[in-house]
Amino acid sequence: MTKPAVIIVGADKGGVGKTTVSRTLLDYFDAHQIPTRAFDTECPKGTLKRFHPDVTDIVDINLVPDQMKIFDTLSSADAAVTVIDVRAGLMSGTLKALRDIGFIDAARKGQITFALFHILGPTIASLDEIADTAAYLGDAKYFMVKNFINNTHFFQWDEQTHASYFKRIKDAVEITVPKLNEMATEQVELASVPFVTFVANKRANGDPASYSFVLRGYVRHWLGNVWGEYDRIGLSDIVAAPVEAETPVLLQAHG
Amino acid sequence: METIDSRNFLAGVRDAARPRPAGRPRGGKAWTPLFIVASPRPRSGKTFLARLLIDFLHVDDGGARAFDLNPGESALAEQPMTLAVRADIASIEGQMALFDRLIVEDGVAKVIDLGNTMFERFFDLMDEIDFVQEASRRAVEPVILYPAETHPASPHAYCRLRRRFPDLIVVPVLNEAILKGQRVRDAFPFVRAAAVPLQIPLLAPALKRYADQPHYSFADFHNKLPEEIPEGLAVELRSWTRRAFLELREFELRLLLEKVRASLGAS
Repeated sequence: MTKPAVIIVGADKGGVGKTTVSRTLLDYFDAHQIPTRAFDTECPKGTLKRFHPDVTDIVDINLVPDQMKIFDTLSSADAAVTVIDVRAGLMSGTLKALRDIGFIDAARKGQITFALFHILGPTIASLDEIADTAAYLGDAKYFMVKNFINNTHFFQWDEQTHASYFKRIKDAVEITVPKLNEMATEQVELASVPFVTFVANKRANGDPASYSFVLRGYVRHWLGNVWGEYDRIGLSDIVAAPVEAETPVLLQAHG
Repeated sequence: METIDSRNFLAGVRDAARPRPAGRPRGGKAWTPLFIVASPRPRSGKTFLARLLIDFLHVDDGGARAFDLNPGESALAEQPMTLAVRADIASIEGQMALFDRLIVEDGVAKVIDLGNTMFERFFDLMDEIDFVQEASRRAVEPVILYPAETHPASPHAYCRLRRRFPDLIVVPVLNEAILKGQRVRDAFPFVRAAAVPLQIPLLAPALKRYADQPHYSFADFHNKLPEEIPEGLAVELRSWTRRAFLELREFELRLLLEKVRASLGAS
């Protein structure tokens, strides 16, 4: 039996491409036929829901009923994987809440697979987030995502500083998301469809569309590179890990 | 759990909107030829060859759409008879304007005069947007016409191109005006019958002077003798044109034969 997997995509800084990474993950799991659900904490607007409306719910992660909606249903949901796109500024708070409700402990006991995709910005402040995050992680799989999609240059990082922060989290793995050109990014935004649907030249309702062949080619190439990174870290195997303990997943929301 | 290769999955995601062609598309051919006249070297006779090919296609089956990809030079576009449009792949908009047209399976031949400064970028882009795979699915047949030269860079780039695009037909073009009697054939190996080198006979300088005039068309010369050129030169020019067109027609037949063989092999 596969244990439920929770992937948190977050950063305390805004505009670093959290939702873009969440979208690539949902496309990736769909391609691998891994049933997945998503929670968009950008309440009430919900950017992720615009692209993946069928599998996404908008929640306010600060509210106990919404925390229950996510975590009390981990074992009972049809989906094997839960992706949570955490709004800017809420990552540390969310991790703290997860610790308080016993989620981190459950992950440590092998009842849940927990992975954090920490989207890094170019500043030292972003590296400081790593130190803040480390305290909550337990045995989680920790992925530091350098996201170049927003033209980030990571100019403030020198190798030594980077390495000193990187070492603070045991088994941290770096992932690079390359840049997708602005026009292709904008066209997928306008189309409001998953990346794979754009590549297939389809509208959200499945009807044929007339997106540019060139832009679809760019998106296909870019998504292939991103998925190459997910293949490299063995993401589909990580979320397919079998249950290690006999004890059922029991989480208690404390608020 | 079933494991799949992510890149293979993406490669398999295809255009939902592509209309399935019913029989022969407008324009005649059941496939859409795309001739890319390309060399990484300057002054290798690309534009001349592109003009000759465009005029041949006009005589042969009603025409071709031509694209001039020589930034700052507009070599082909300066020849009004070719009806060539300037193309630019430096910007995404320019790439869309060009490649979104090249991928259309309308049965009308396309010819690109690819400037040497755009050589690498063009083929990188083709690779990046998966052009060859999509073209194959749409019955668009890219063929690279590669003017051969004695400079070592020429056969080197030719071999690299063949390795990079093993499914494409890359045809060396042995233009006597460029090669000046030097033998290079062995430096441009080929395997496929359709890639047999093209031989372009020498066009004497006195004739080339006429052929280089902006409103000159080889298509006009194919059948009649123009009055504005001395009769002796006109006869010679027509004779040269017929030989060059015969070479192109044989090349076209080789392409056709290869397609027939492929379809017989597939059935």
